[in-house]
Amino acid sequence: MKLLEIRDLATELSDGRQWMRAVDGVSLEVRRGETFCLVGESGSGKSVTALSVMGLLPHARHRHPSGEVMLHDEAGTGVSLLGAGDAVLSGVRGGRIGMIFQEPMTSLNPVLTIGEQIEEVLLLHRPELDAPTRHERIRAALEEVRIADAATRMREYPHRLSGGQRQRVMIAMALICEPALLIADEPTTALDVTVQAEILRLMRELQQRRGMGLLFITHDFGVVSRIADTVGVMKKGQLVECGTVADVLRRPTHAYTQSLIASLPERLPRGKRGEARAQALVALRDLAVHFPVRRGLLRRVVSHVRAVDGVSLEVHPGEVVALVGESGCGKSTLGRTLLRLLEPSAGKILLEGRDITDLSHTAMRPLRRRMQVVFQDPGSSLNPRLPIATTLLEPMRVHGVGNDEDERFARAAELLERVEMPADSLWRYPHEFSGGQRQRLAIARALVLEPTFILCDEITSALDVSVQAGILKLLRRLVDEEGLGMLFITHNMGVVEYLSDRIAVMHAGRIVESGRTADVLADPQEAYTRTLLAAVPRLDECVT
Amino acid sequence: MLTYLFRRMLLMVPTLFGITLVVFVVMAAAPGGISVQSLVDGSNLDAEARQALEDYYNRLYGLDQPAPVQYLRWLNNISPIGFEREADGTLGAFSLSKGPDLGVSFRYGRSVSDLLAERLPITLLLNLLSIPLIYAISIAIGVQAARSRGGRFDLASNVVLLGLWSVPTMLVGVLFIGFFASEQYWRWFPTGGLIRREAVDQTFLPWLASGMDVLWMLAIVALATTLLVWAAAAASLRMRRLGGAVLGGVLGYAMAAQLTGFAPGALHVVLTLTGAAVLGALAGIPGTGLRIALAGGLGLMLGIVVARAAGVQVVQTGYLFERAWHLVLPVVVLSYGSLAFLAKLTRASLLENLAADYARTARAKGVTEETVLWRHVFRNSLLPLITVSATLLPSLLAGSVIVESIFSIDGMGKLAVEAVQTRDRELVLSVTLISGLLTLAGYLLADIAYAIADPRVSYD
Amino acid sequence: MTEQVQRARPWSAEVIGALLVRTSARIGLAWIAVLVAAAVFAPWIANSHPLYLVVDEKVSFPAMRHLTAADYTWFAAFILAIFAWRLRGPVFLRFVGWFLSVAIAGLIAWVCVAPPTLVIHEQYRELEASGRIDFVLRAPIPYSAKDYLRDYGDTGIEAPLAASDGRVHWFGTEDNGADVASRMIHAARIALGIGFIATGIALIIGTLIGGLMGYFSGVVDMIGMRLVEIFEAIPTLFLLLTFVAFFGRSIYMMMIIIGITSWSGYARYVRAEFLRLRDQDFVQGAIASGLPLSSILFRHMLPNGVAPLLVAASFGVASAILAETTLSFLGLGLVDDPSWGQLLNQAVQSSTFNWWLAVFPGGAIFLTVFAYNLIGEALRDAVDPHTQRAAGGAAR
Repeated sequence: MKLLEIRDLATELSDGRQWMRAVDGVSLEVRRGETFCLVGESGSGKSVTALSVMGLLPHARHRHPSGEVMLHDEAGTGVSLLGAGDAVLSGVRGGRIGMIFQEPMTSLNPVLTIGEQIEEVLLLHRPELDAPTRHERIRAALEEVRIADAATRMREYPHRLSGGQRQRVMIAMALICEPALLIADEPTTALDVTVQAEILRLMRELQQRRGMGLLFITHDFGVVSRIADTVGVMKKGQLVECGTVADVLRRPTHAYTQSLIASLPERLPRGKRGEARAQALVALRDLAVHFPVRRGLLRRVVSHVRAVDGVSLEVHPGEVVALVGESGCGKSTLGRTLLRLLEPSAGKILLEGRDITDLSHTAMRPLRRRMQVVFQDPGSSLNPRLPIATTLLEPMRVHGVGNDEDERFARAAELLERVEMPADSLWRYPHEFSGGQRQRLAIARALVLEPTFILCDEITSALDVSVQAGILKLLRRLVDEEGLGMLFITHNMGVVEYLSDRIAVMHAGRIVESGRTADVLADPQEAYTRTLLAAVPRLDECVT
Repeated sequence: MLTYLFRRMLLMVPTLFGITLVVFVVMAAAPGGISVQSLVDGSNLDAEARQALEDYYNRLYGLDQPAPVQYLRWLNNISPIGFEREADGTLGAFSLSKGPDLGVSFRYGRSVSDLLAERLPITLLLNLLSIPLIYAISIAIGVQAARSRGGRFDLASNVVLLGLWSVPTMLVGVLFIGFFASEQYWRWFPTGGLIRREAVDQTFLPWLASGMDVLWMLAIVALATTLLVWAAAAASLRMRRLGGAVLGGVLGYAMAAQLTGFAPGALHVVLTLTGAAVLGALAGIPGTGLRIALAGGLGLMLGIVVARAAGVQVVQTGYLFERAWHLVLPVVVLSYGSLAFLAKLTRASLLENLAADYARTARAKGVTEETVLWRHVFRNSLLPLITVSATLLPSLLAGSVIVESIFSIDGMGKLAVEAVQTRDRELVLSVTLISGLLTLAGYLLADIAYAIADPRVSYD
Repeated sequence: MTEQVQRARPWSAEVIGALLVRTSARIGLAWIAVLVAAAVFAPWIANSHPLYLVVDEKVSFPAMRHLTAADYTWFAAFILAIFAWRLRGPVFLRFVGWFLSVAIAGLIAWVCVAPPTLVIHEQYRELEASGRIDFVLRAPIPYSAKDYLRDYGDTGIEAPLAASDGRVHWFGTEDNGADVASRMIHAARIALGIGFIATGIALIIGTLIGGLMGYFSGVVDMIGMRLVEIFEAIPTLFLLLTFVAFFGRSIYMMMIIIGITSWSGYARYVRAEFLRLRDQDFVQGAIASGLPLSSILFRHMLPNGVAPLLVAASFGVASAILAETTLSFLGLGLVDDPSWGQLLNQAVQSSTFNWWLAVFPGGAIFLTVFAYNLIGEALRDAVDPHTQRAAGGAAR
């Protein structure tokens, strides 16, 4: 039975000067008890569609040239939402449609307690209830989303809860008035993999128990295959394909969907991989990084945060080692310490057999040529004030690579070619390029000194799937052709599978399990590894 | 929290030490430095008598000793524990309960503590009156501007506020005194000081001639106020604008008439048009609360004026109103700059929070826009205002210097200027100490207030 | 996923472009331009010495002859600024080049230019009265800033256009008899000069200390923060008063003093920016590439941290000008040189209220401060990444 009906929706957004069409003629239906996943890359208009349904777009900056949104109730009568008055919308929002958002850290009001914020929904939509009843309902709602110790938690402020807990509170808040439809805008994107798995399971459970309709927006095909009944694929504001999850994922008809699925790292074709060669390029022995915690009147050190707690690791030439773990496990700290950007508290770092743990900065400088790094955020990986040419040439000048400027220019141009960027990029500034292009330029900058080892810290996490595919292929090629050693930090298992030869799983500052990727993924030995792998949503999971 | 407070207060000490040291170094390093010259200059004494006087002053104040020693002696004087100071200036025995002694002012010959006790309350009165006024008005304006974001009120108020912030205090003070408090133009306000001598003996509240006068006064005032408030709240936009323009024009004409008679002239035209434009615009602003407040204030004032013109006799204005009347101009001049700044800050903070994620969540729950503003966004928006309040007191103290000079108010600001001009070492150092102390206390209070307001912040 | 193809300019050009689009900035810049014109061309706009004089058939250019070193330096600065604007190259280098060349020009002028030391303003009026002048071309305001009209006796304060003996004073005269309009125009130099130089000094001190604090942290940070706190907690006006009262009232002293008392705000900004930048990926990448410290500080960190400084500097110039006028108003300003604050001071000196001494100089102060505040606000919008047009709005 139809619950939400969107007909030919068009939404235009303004940035103050021009109007831009964000949603262009989208039609879809969500039925009772069904999960509809709206998938697409960034900028495809999926979030704008959801916000249009709820009328939550910024006041003066949007308009709907055409379209109709109808919310049907059990009797079959429909309420038109698009362009409805404030009174109608206020009644529908929270009462008949609940919505949860992507960033749990900023979506709750920091100065009100959780109980107060949930109570507000009840006061608005169920004013006939008295205080004790409301209290009871709030407690029950929190218990339903598995917040332990609900009665005490109710009186706490949001900043005391973790991201996963906050998202649970958001779900409780959205569902407490028993709406017929729940809209979820990428609710698990900002969460860890294991937390994501639990939240997804929770949402599926609640949906089935209540017979709710669920409109779930995401960019992750793994999530889609785990929870969706129907899938809609969006590209540049248009709905290019729509159908059951089995049809769309197994037998996509539209070229865009096909290319998207083909770009998923799980589906990328893998070449032959060589065996690791003899001497380790980079070796860590019992590395530890501890940060002091200071308390009290005199700021004395009371304890330490053990970010990295005794890690031993090796990376050989011509291989990619993936370092996996959830947020806060210490993998980024490990990476930076390896490069001597942070100082280790204990242990040894060996580069090509040489102990570099205690070298002074001056002594380190010539060795820095051998190890380079590429970071996660394309927005800050390149100096915004310098043209690309300077960014590439400066390290060469400092280290005396090349005999004169012409030779250096030639090298820079050659590098650009290797990372598949046009040669005239040299004269441009970073903000002229897209995220994926900037990451390629960052890789070029890392390669300019001809290193033997590269550290990649979640470099594709902020990129779209199709862009990511290109970068991963480039990296693999570089490793295979040039015999580089690479330590690739990530939390995305699909990428690990495609890219890496060996894998190390990190948890709370320690390496829990390591070995050849194929072996570990097929047969994980440790409990944590098993939990981690089970939590990752895979494309091939979808039933039927 | 207590350890944090303790730490902050402990840290205040080196900072105060540093401040007084800097000022002392400036004094000592100047050409002429701190010497006895400024005290004996200008007195017509022969060489011997002059020498004797110099010797006396040197011993009394230790002016002939090297600068570091002078500073240390001063530190010793102000610390509660230290060497006692004898009447002729030498050091006495060590005592644990000496008590802080701020010294004797060169210029006035009186003890500095007495001087400060006289002058400080006046400055504090001015500033403490200003602070709630500033906050109340700036929040009102800021909220209204944020509500009508992008609208006419918002854009207009933005420009007006920036303009207000840019007008130098001394210009406003001079213009006010020149035009509204002088013999030549409108003599609506007193020219200076904080109270008339006669008023000190008057009754606290105004004394009217008879019971009938009281009734008449109250009736007229009430009528005027109710009329204007009703018009501001209930009338339509066009009626309001028209009514405001008419009223403003009439008032403008009356202003001109007070100066140059009823015959129309250039001044009459200018003032009528200005009055009409200003009141017409004010009557048209979108915020009902603001309009009612403005109308109420105007009604009260007009009521009193009309009542007096109609023959109600006021025998004595009373201490309270005399005081208030003297305070109006100085407080306005002192506050308008900070008011403009805070209003803009409030607006910016509100706009930022109205677009925040949690506001979107609230809307998604079905909360109406008004409630989102007042229940969710308002408290979050106040946080930067609290941070800024730390710097409010120092800037008001600085403003006091100018205001007190212009309005001839004997407060600490004026004292500071005089101290510096006469190179009065004790006074300069003491004023620095007090100002520094007040400033640091202001910072500390602001931090505590912030910790109370924002549950995310906790000091360990 | 699209490729961005728009051509963009370096950041400084972007900011300037975004700035010039805004009406408020244009108004502010227009007024500043008026001030600059007044300051540069003052000797030709308001001067007792005629521009061109023929007496007894002898031709002379008295105004040119009496040009001081300061006049030449201001004019040279103007011409050099036009050059610097037309040249290509990074904005910062052009600015430094301009500044250095102006300094050199000033030095040369100071050494070489020697106008007659004894200046008699009345001689031309006497010549005219005695009928010996064949032809004269005067400046639009035929009174110098320091021409106290002694030949008319003790004229004192006169209202605009109220003088009876054939003189025309558009803005009236001040206490010593000098023409207000002329003094105001010459005072534009003081206002502009103090604004820039004081702010410049404060910027340099603040950037150095703030940068050191932000980059090195630890002990350096602690000491620096104490220094900043001390200078913040000292009532600025009071410190200024103390300085000026004790050290005397030369204009250079005032510039330095105002600069020394206002650096703490800039230090805080620079420190905050450096702390943020230290963890930025491209800086970490630069360190990982083994680039020298000077390059990391000056090429990678500082240019990226400049944005809040620009905004603060614009407001800072406004407050420096206000500081100078406050000092002059309190009677602690410059003695003989014309200044707006000093004129304002005279408005309430005598028992009568001389409105022209409040309205005109006060209006000039207001417009100048307003202009800088407008520019500051427009700059803030121009550099704020949130309100900025996605210049390259790199989507994923």
